Amino acid sequence: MTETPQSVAETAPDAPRPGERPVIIRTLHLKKEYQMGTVTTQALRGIDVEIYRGEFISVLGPSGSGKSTFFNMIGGLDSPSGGRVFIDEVDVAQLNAVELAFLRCRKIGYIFQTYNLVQYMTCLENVTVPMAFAGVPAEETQDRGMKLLDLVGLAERWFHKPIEMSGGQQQRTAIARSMANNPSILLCDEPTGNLDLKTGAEIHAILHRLNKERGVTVICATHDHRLISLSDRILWIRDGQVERIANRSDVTVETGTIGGEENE
Amino acid sequence: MKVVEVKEQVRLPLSKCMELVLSGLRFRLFRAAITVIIIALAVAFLMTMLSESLVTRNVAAAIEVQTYPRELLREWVSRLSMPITDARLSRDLARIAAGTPRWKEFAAWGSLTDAQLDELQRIAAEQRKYLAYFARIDEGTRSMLVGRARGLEILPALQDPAKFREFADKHPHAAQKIESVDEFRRFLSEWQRTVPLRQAIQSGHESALKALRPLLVGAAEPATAASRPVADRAAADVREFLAAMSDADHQALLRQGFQMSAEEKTLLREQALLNLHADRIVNSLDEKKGVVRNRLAKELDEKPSDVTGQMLLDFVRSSDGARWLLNLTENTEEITPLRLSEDRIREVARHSGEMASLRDVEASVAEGSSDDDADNLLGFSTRTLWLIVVSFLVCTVGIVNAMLMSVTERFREIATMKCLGATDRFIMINFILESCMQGVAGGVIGAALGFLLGVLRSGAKYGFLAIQNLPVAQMFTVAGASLVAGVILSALAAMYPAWVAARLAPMEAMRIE
Repeated sequence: MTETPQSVAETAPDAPRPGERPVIIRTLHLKKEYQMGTVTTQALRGIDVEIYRGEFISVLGPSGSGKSTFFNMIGGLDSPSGGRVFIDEVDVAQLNAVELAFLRCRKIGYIFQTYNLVQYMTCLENVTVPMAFAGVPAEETQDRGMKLLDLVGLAERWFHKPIEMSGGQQQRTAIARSMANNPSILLCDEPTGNLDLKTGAEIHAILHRLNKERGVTVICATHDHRLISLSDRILWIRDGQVERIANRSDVTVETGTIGGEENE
Repeated sequence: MKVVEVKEQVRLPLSKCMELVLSGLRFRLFRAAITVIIIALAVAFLMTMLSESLVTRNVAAAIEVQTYPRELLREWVSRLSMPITDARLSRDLARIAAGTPRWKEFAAWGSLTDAQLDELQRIAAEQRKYLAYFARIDEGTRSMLVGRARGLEILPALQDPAKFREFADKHPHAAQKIESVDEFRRFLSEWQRTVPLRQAIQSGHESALKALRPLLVGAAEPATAASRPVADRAAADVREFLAAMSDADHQALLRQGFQMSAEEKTLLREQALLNLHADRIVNSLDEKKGVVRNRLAKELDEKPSDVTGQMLLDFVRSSDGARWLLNLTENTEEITPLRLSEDRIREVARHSGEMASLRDVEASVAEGSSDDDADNLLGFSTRTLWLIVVSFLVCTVGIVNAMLMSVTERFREIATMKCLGATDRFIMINFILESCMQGVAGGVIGAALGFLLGVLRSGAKYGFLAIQNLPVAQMFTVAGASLVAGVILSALAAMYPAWVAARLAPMEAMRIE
């Protein structure tokens, strides 16, 4: 059980054809049902999406659209009721709890709207937690943690507790933490939802830089148009289904309308 | 395309968990403190009970040593002043063993062989068992079975075949039953057959006493004897005899079959003298219209009728008090002089004071271990054990509640940790470790508190004796045991909350309240 290498050929039914962009997350007829008392709610009704390695994609959808459920599925946080999710060509449904923990620890970085920093740890300790989980020796975590804090511009504040920092600083710490084990995917759930315009812009810049310089695949659930305008593609989800996927260049003219819709 | 490998997540070393838990605890100090207090209270309760029972046991042993001369004197006075009753003989017979002084005495008085005494001893033991049975069953059933006979009367009453048949017929209807009616019948006939042997012992003892009468009767001073009720006069005579016992008297006792060792003789003489002198001091109170009583009442600012012998004895413990009494008795006409030195008066007073304080302690020791059959586990009564169990249950509920609150208020933190790669196992260990640390803190505080309380409480109950007989080494063992109990309890109580935390879905981290 300790080593279960899963090769592309074994698990992915349709490997990428030559010439296509490499896919990092692929969902096949993804379905999710929630049982609430006697009522069964269909949160996802069959989603087929391919997310390419190194792209910046925004996920849009009104609340109750199934956007959060979709997020949980592709983040390896919840298991589907039907269909499959491949993260880096690994079928998530095949993994046991301990392997899922491994996947979450190294493959995916999570950024939350409420930052979710551990309140009793300093900035640096928060950043090094995932490294400890990955078994990195303590001395190494300090160096790597400081480098990451430097990346988000918080190196001087490494000893501060979350309560002593502003929202923007907390979110920057959270980004540094999400990058702790060099994940290939960053999953951001409304990363600027609790921030004002100026600090939001700082977050945008960092995410953009990570995407461009490090080639990290960034998936954002957001309502923030400036963040949407940074993305390569935009995915609309409505009623548990994909309403539309479009390249950002095709929708530039529509950004106003999107904003208009969202601000209704 | 590279082959993706997913392995099992790394297991964090315990030291890392410990570090995380400690910083978490420091952050939630108030909650942790309350949990620690709950544990400390339960452990303190256990520790108090344990240390008190330890002290009580030690004090009881110490009292037995200190009161041995007094009990010895009481025993010999009754042996030399009155015939052996049936009940007493049965009790002694059940306890004797071959070669002991009592065995030799019985053999001499009854002219019995060792085999006969053996049989008597066995029958006495059986008799105790059967009489205990009759004492246990309720009044109604007992009347139905044996009529109005009680205690030792039951055995002669059932000798009548008709009575026994009636008993055997009705017995199956009793709620509690004798093991075997046939066995009981055999016992009854053996008991009846050995009646003459027991009577031989009793009459042998009586004739021994008769032979000693010239030595025993009238030994008491007329003044002392006159002040006592007639029934006590024989006892007073014996005490006087023992106090003045010469080697010749001792030889006379030995010739009559009484087994008294040289050490016992010395002890008895000292003890009897102490008693006599104490009596002499107390009796001076009421001589010649109570001159001493009135003067003492004035000294103590009490009503004369409230003055007791013990007050006088307490008063003469100081050298001033002793001199005061000596002056008073020697210089007042018609009062019998005490014929005691100042030092002797003080010694007698001190001794009787010690015995008086021992009597109080003896009463509380007896109270502490009153129920004979309940003196089971660790010397606790059933009631105390029950209290301890309940206190631990309450404590467990408290810890479970505190830990569950800790889990609920950290939902987001736990879920985030799981998003960052924490395994279920890590979360579980984290919470159990947290509870264990609180258990250690609570255990140490509780053990110290309980130790203090236990010492204070037993100090209040047994006074100086408790402090003198503090079993320090045992107390430390008990404190260690209480501490371990506290830690185990906390670990067990944390199981369920830890399980709840471990099962928490990581997507809870996304939730916004």
